[in-house]
Amino acid sequence: QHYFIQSNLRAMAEEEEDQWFKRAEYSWLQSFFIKCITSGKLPEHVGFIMDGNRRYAKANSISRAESYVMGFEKIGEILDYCETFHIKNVSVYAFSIENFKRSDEEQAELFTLMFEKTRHLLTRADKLAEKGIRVKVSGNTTLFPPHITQTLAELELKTAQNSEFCLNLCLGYTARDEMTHAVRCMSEGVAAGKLRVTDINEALFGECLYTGELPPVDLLVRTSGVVRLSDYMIWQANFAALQFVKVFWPDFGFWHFVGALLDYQRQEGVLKEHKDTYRSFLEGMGRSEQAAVGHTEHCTLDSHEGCVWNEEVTQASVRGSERRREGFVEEVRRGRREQLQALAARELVVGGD
Amino acid sequence: MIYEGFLFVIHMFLHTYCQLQVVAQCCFNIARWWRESKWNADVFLSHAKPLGKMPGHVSLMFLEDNVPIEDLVKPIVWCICLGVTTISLYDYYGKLRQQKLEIDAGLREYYSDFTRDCKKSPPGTGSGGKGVGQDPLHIKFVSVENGRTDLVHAARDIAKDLVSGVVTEITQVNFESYQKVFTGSHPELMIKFGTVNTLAGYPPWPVHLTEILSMPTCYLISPSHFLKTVQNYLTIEKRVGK
Repeated sequence: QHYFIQSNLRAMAEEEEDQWFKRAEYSWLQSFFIKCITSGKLPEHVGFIMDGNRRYAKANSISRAESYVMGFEKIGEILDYCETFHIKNVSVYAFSIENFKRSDEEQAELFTLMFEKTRHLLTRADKLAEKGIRVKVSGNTTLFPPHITQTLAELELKTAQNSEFCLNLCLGYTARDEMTHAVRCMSEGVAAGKLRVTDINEALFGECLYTGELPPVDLLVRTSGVVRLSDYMIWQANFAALQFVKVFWPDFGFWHFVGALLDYQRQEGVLKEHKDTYRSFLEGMGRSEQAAVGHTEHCTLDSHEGCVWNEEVTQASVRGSERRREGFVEEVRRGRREQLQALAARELVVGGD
Repeated sequence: MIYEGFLFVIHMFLHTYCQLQVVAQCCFNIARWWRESKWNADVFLSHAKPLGKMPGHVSLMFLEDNVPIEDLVKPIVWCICLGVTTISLYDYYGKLRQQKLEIDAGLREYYSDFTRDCKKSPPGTGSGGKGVGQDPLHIKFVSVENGRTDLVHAARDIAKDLVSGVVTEITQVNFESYQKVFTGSHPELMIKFGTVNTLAGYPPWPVHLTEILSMPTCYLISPSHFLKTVQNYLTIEKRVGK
């Protein structure tokens, strides 16, 4: 039965081969709305929680496997919309760590699809390069079977130089796991003497997340009508516009996306005000902390004699912290690249589960 | 230019629609006021009974400006009557925290009025009917300063302890123990008041599985509308990953 499912999925994958790179043809009304919306403010980074595949399958009397394939096809469609609306970064919640609680049969279906689709994208790397699509994977991919981990690493490396557009696949991901990973990373940096405790701030925290290279999420869309974030990008989307759309993921279409973008634009002024005031708050807090740190360092150095709290001391402390943070972030990114190369270089284990 | 003009018109319609939602809600609440101003906790709970059990921790997020205290305290008291033991009050700028004394006074006054002539003591009365604010009720004031900043401070503290050997590894469980804003319970339900749909800097760690319900306004809020909104939460299937 499992072989039957695998070969069916392969056949469907091949049939859908070019759907991902097909440009949609828009009606005059759609084109009109595209031109109107793109004349306004657009999100830089949109996140999707692709919920409702199984309920879609039940409602439409199709198999779960077919609905997952349709769900994957939908990502291609969304990429096309984002290209049309000049949105450069898209994140999709493809497989949560919590999803490992699903039945073995369902996990096998999902892993087979993941492997087939990733391998297919690898064979179309030229097309991805032509469109400038970088595929990034956020999450703990070592939780997956090794052949999937390896293929994902290969795809990430192969598209790393593409810079027009970023598709961020969240696989083996939860936000809490991601934040804990970032804290572990920074703490190990402190333990190794590369950072000081006081160097840890929000900016560094954000850079140490799996999505560190991406801008914050401006718009987060969840399909299927469920109104929670399910441990998805809760740090990155802390100031994002939230859209809970009452359609299943395979049904999410152009007009739902237009509705989400219009609602984002409606709230953009208030969201920007929140972000600006928060930035000012952080800057103020950062300066006070840095001044205190600088003063403490200065006092220590001068044995408390002739100790003067001044701007020069603060600036020197700020510069020192920034240097350490930049160096640490570069090291973290280098480490990530080396890890990907090591994962991609592993001997491929043929087949799946 | 022409498309910017059309976009402006579209947004005028959207903005008007949102404002109309708020106005319509206020009008409905005024219409219901004649009937529901006589509600006390017994009547409220009799309408709430078919809905099921409320979560232990509810967060109320106020994204509107200048909500009158007499409207603000109502959903708090209703949550108390429904058996909620921890209520977090969030507003972006932290103005609610500055009005703590006035809110406390308004809360006690409304609670006393709402629980008048009740045959049974609603939750929150504490032992010996001492009134709202007694154990086991907890009300927390939260603002954006308690958001990601708390996680950064927790990260610094755990880094210090890792270096000094107090902890040997960092896990989700022990990292959570270093956070100060929400010790113990996390909000299972958030009710957001206002037409802006955002977390607005709310502490991110506790809301990973929180159901987020929206009401267009807290102005002139009515108990039946509140119960109808809460009903949405109680009928939601909690699948969590499966």
